[in-house]
Amino acid sequence: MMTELWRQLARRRTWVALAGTALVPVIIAVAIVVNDGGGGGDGGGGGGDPTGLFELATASGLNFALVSVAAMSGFLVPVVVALFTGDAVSSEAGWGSLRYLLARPVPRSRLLGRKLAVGVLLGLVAVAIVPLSGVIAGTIAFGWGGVQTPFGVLAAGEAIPRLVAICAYVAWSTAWVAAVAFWLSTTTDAPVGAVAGTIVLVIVVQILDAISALGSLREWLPVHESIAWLGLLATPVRTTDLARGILLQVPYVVVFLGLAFWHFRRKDVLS
Amino acid sequence: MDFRSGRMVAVVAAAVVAVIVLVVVVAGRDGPDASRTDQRIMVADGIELATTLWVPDGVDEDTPAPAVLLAHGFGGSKASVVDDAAALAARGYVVLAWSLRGFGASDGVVGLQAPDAEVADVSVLVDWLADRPDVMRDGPDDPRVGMTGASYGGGGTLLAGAADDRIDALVAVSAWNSLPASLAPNSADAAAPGVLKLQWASTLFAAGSTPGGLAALAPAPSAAPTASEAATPSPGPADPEGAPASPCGRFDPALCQAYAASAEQGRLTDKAAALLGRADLPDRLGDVTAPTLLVHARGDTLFPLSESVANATGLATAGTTVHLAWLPGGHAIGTTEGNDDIVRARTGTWFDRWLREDESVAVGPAFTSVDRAVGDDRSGDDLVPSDATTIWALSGDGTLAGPDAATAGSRSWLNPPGGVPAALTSLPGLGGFADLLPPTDLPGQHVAFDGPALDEDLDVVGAPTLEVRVTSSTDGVVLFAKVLDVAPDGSATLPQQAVAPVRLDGMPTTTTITLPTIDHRFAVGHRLRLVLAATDQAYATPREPAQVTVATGPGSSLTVPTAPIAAADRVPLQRALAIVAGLVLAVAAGILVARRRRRRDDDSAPDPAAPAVAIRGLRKTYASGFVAVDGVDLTVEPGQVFGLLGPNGAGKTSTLRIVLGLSMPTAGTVHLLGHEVAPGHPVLRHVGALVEGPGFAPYRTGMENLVDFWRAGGGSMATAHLDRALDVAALGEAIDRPVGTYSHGMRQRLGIAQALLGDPPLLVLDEPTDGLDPGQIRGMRDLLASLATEGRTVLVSSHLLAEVEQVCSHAAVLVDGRVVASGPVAEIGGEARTVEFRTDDPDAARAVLVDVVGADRVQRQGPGLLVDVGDDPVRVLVAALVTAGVGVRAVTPRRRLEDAFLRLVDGGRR
Repeated sequence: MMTELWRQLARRRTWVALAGTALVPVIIAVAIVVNDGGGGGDGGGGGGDPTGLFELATASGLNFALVSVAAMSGFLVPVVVALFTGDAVSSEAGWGSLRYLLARPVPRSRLLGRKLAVGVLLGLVAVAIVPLSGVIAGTIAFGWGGVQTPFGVLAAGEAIPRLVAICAYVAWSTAWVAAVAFWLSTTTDAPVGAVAGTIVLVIVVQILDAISALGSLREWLPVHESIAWLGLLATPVRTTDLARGILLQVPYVVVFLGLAFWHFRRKDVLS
Repeated sequence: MDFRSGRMVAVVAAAVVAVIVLVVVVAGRDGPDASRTDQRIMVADGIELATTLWVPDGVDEDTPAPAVLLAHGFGGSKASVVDDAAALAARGYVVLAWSLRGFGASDGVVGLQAPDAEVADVSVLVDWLADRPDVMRDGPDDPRVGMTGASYGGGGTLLAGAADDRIDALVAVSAWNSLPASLAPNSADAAAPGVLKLQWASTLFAAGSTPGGLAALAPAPSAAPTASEAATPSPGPADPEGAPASPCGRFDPALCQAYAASAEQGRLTDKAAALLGRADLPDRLGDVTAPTLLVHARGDTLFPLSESVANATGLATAGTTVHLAWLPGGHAIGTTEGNDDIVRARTGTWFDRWLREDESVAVGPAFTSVDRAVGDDRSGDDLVPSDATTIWALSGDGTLAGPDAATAGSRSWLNPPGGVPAALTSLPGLGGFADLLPPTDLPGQHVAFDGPALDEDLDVVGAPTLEVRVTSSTDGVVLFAKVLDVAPDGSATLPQQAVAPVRLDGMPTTTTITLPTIDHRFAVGHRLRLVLAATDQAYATPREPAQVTVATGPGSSLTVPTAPIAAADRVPLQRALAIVAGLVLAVAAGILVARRRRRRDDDSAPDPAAPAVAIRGLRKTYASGFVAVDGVDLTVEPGQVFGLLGPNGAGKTSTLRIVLGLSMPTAGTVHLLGHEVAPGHPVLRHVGALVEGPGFAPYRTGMENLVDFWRAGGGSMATAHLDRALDVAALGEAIDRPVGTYSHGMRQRLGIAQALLGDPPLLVLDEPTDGLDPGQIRGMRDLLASLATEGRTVLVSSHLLAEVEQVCSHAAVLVDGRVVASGPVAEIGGEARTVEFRTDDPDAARAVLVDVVGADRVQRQGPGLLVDVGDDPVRVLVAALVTAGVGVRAVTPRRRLEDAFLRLVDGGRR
């Protein structure tokens, strides 16, 4: 387990991905600061801001952290998670080292479990980096303070646990991405195939979720409740959608992780 | 294989995407197409209305469909409702849209839904639909028909529903309850003269008298359900209007005069009130029998939210089925994003339920208030579900206090001469931007009473009431009452831009003011602020100066209807978390149990008595049907160096993969050191392997790769015998460079070193000399020999015969997945000994040799002669040649194994 963690931490792509994740909030903060004064024209809660959070980004460092999470939870976080989990097994297969790991006296499911645990751990780190980087960059740029939400004001003491809960929800909302990527990872020797395949799937699912003609079908897409964390900003916290979002992940995670283990335990390692 | 499976994944992914796209395209289609026909229908003498009829594809006299009458908003025309008509037609309804009298290309004058004009027209249109064979019928001259419309059309829908009971379902959007009370409301006494809503009245009058209507006054506050449609003045020959011929435009002249008089007087004249009262609903709602859906925007400042409540309660009192839906936004409901979709969906399901009489259609609870905050809807089975009240009293210190804590006294304000400047609270037609407008009250012209900061959220649903005693320096007084939401930072917002105008006569007086109906959450930390103001720009206000005073104290009370804030229902969340936690626990328990069982079963000690490798009846058929291994039996005893020979594709590597547990046999068993092998079996701890070339993480150094590999197997570095492995690798400094920089041979040596980690008693090496130079091959040979002398067992596959012959004690030859020979290398080579003679004179030599051994044992091969020497010593043959004078250049023994191999391969294939 530690060996696998060190192996992943020694990889440049791990650090590039984590650093990139950390950098995005900083870039947004710099862009807002640089644009300040000149760029107020497109305000008014246009179509690009469904949550109504972006115009509050500059209220405080915590606000900015929240906005960072909102901005990145839709696509960037799933991509990073897909990278960490989609490449876990397929890269070993690509290097030819998978067969040596499997010829060790370790059950395949345990090996797979370690790979999954480390991939998930790195994904969690990526999710955690977003608000951390956001709060640091935001506090430097906009100062410390409570969180202004579309529903009111939260004191910092109350906002921080909620931010943590939001991040936990965002992380769990990408569980299906991790499961799909991991399953694809066990089926191919090409890490790019597993990662890109997952990203394509994420995009397709998000597009489907945006097509209102699909009606109630959309409710069963794993991204349908992806902004339910907004309920954590309201007072009192609204949890119905949140609960649905949490449960919505379960079938996808069970099915795709089940497929991954089922397939990997039986597969002939030819690579 | 990897290439093929990769391509397979790509193909499957592409197929999935294609199917999804197809589903989306099919599902996204707008239902059946509809044919449109424009025609003029005569509704009264000399009055024709311009109409458009939509008939969905597949609807004809054999399969008739219900019809829907679709009325437009004030200032619009049938062109304003094209999108709504298309949406209804797509649901399978025959839709008849028309331009109301005085609008679009229709004849007549605008009568503001006069019963004998616009309302009577609807009955004529119902008659007209009754004659159409493609419209379903309830009886002779009674078609199955619903009606919908917004604002002007919404009020018209309710009026028509009251006038003509052949209409079977109604959806009224942004409808009034009373036109006079909406245009000149008095919140102290609805029956008494009110305060003229000057801005709205002007806007509407302009809309009715200008070609293009309200649409010309963007952003359109028009009642048309879609702003975009309303903004398209109906062009073409159907709309031949020019500029208005008179200041009254197409208004009924009587209405026009009444308006002019009202605007002049700043109050609705009796005549105007009477004319507007023709379209009053309160007395007519009892005649409505059709199930009715009322849709209203919370921020409607023309027909305030209270109008929808009055309509809903009026219908409910009469026993009519009624549902009430509140949406965000202002009077022009479509200018708030998302509302159109909601209205169309609700309208469609309402008609599906009541026109198609489909009881399976869910129309939802009787009351819904959509999107009060992001994603926060309110719903209930009661029409306006407030069930508790909070009471404050106006206190002399300008606060709202508890009824007992209020201090008696008074507060005053001035009405400015001429009524200007005036407070600004709302602008007609601002639509979705209205919320951005901060309420402005002028100093001295208002009094404010601030409540305490709320210690919990307060949901106000319904109309607060204010009981207060008012005195004035004049006989009559106009004032504007409103409730503001004050945030902790002091900024104030006016929920729904709602203001209650009050006209009081006979000073002093004690009165009860009904404040605007709102659905608003005052968040924790916020305050309620009651404001009584002298002026409001939206209204006509008296011009004479006055000083107005309200009494404070326990008797001056503000009663606020509230809804209980549903304590967030945490049960689903807890349940969801419990389910997820349960799953995690179950998986963790499964892992623990599996681990414990494994530990119990972990008896991997090599059995010294058993063969090192025992393969029995091994078969391997790949998914493609290719049989790689076809019944192999092999036994490798401890201490043997066993060579697995065979041409490419003979099944060597497939066999070794199964031996190592990398792939599953189709049939047969493999025992290693006495244990039947399975993937990841503990006995693999005692096996070192190199299969199909080395495989290392390219970004890690050689050393790190060895360490990772060993640790992945769960061994401690103390048992790794790393030094021996490093000696074999002989990589020197390069061991600390990333493997990505290694040459093929360096990687091969690192692979062999990896196989030697842990000093395993059994080594499985697949083509170990691949990529090595001759010197290294020799080193390899020496290594294998020394391993053998240490008592290790080595199973080595190769297609290089010299290697096997020189190193191996035993060997097996595989051809097409079968063992064609097996045993000690000497035995496979066979008893026959062949020697090649190179001489100066092959012909003479042949004659000599044939004499000695016989013709059948001498064979010409190129420049040399192959002789099966049998038991004859070679020196005898050499002596015979020398004696015969034939010069002998070279005598070399022929490779026995090579011969045997080629013979076996040929034989095996036959």
